[in-house]
Amino acid sequence: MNGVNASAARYLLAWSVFTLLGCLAVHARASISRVPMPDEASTRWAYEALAQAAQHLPLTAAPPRAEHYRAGGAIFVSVYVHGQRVARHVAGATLTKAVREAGVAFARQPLLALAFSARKPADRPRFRIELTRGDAALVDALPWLRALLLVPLRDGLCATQGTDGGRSVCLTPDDIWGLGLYDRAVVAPIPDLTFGTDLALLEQRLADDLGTTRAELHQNGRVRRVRIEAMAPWPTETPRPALTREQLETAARDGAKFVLRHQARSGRYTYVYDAQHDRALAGDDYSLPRHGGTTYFLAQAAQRLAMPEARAGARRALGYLRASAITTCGAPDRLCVLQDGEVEVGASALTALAAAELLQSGDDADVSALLSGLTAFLRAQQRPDGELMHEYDRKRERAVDVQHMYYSGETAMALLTAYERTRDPRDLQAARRLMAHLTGAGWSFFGSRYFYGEEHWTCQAVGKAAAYMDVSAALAFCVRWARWQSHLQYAAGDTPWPSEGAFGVGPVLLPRVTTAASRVEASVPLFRVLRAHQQSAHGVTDASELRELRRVIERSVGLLLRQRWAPGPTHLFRNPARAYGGMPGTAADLTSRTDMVQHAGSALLAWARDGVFDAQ
Amino acid sequence: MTRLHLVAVLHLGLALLLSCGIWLVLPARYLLVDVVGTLVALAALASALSLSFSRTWAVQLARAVAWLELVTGTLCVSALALSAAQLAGSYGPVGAGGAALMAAVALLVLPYLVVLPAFQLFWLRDSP
Repeated sequence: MNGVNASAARYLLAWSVFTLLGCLAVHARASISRVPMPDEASTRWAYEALAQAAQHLPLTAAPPRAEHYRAGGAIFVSVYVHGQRVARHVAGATLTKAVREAGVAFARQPLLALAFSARKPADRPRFRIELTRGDAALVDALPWLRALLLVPLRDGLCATQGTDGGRSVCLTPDDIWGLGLYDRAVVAPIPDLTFGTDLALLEQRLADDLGTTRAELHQNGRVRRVRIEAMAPWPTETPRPALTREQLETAARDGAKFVLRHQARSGRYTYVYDAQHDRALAGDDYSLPRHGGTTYFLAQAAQRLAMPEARAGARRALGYLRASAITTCGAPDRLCVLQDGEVEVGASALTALAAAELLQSGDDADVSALLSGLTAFLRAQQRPDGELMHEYDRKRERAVDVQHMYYSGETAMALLTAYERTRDPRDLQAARRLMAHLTGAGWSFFGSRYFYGEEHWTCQAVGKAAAYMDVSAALAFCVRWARWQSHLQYAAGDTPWPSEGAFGVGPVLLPRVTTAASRVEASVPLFRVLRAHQQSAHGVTDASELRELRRVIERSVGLLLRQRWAPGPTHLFRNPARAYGGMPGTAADLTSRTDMVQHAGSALLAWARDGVFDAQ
Repeated sequence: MTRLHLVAVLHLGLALLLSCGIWLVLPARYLLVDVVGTLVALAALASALSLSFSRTWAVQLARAVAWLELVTGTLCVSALALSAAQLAGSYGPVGAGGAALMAAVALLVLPYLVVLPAFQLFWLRDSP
């Protein structure tokens, strides 16, 4: 071997050793060895004792395990009123001592004692105990990773002034959560996808609390990543109970009530509800497709849950569209939805779906006329090969042949639901051609078995279409889609959060709840059809396929039940009663967008109707 | 085909792969990746041309470019591995999906920017 080869070999050997040892060292420095959390009896006692102390009542004796419990560092006892932290006591690691000290400190505050006697539950203080479980150095030597250094909802940040024994201040996960800084640092070029925590902002806040500058803190102080977890956290990590139909229907009913609570008289919904401040988030991005989707959910709730108020709400919502967004497109009998002066084909499809679903729970001449006009427009948008054209130029009175995500699947679902009501063969024919394209020629390319788009509307339509046509090819497509999704579903312990049933490709991003909801919406009709068929023609060779599908659905339904606001992280809510039934985008989200409630509600109703319940 | 011709073809292929990957496939512009990747691609292209036209300094340039590719590739793989180690330390197991994603990235980088340059240096060992 000549010199060049020897050099290259030495270089590769050195590189391998450096990388391996570097990985081990970085992993060890980033890992936090965590002390266990207290048991349930200790948790119950701690919160009861705080309430007793604040009301000047004698404290009950602590259970033996609570007496012996020591955290991995400081214990933070906080009091929240109307979603804002109003008091905090930071104590040492002994739980009973921390609770007793905090009780004494809070009892001395007359305003807190007064708040405890408030008549409305929303006005009463809420306690929150957060325990330090361990800490680690803030390893920020690696470039590009600063935004990912804190595990959202689990890691806080503490700073100590001076090198030895100086003053320390901390931002606990509740503090960072309340500031809305988790999961927001990086805005990805994908809708709704943000991630990471802005460490610079947190360090600046810690420096302010210490009365110094960030630069000085870096130079003369120490910043640590601290694992801090709340006693009685939300969402819970306790094993989920067996699902029951009533449980799902109650959750869906709560969702419908949430939507109705946040609907204006005009029929317009609160697009994004901010539970932390009990207000609608300002913005000019109101989505009419999501307005249509939410109305569809209310129409479902009206029929399946016998909620006349949901039917009234859905009619109001359609009335809002008629008054502000419905127009004619190309012919007097073709109706479409306009948003910002442009024809919105997706909104037209979802409004048609909502209208068709609403007619399932009773006749309505206005809604029938609206449905007839919308389906006529949607049929006119179809290409000869079955695909839909997703835009319409009103000036030139012609369809524009471009495609957007979801719209074709939504239209197929709308046409089939309309057919169930109107029995118009043109709707069925259009739906058949559209689905043949979506699940056949529309998804045929090299690698199409390894990658799939957002097909949750398509596969719902396939489930509905099975009653009227041969859907073998489309069903096979959806089975492949469902198998692929099952690989992306988290099992318990896959992420630092209780995310079993969510979907994702790694633990760094907080899982999105709506993704799980939409997978359930699509998988349940598939489950229903496969269960009815129980045949091998679609690749279902035995019952294991169905078992796997059921497992995937049940995991995701469990996630929806855990993450809905029932009641949710009430210490950060201004008015928990108004937030009840809402659904956040992620566990760190303190807002609920209307489509998140819709997808979750529709998913829960679907499994309540077609699911299998061992517990009953 | 001689060894030098094979190295020329490989350098040309790598230049095309990097250029197309960076400027046609990557969905976002990122200065570090764009600049370093393009420089490596241009160097590989220069090496391929010089070997094809049998320049006297072609072998020296090919060795230098192979070293450049090797160093860039190993730094890239190290950065990915250390980042993964840090995230796994902070967040816990990366899960099946995350592991598959990281393996896919490593599979894309390792053969082209680590194994291939190492082989090229081996093939060029006896060339003057």
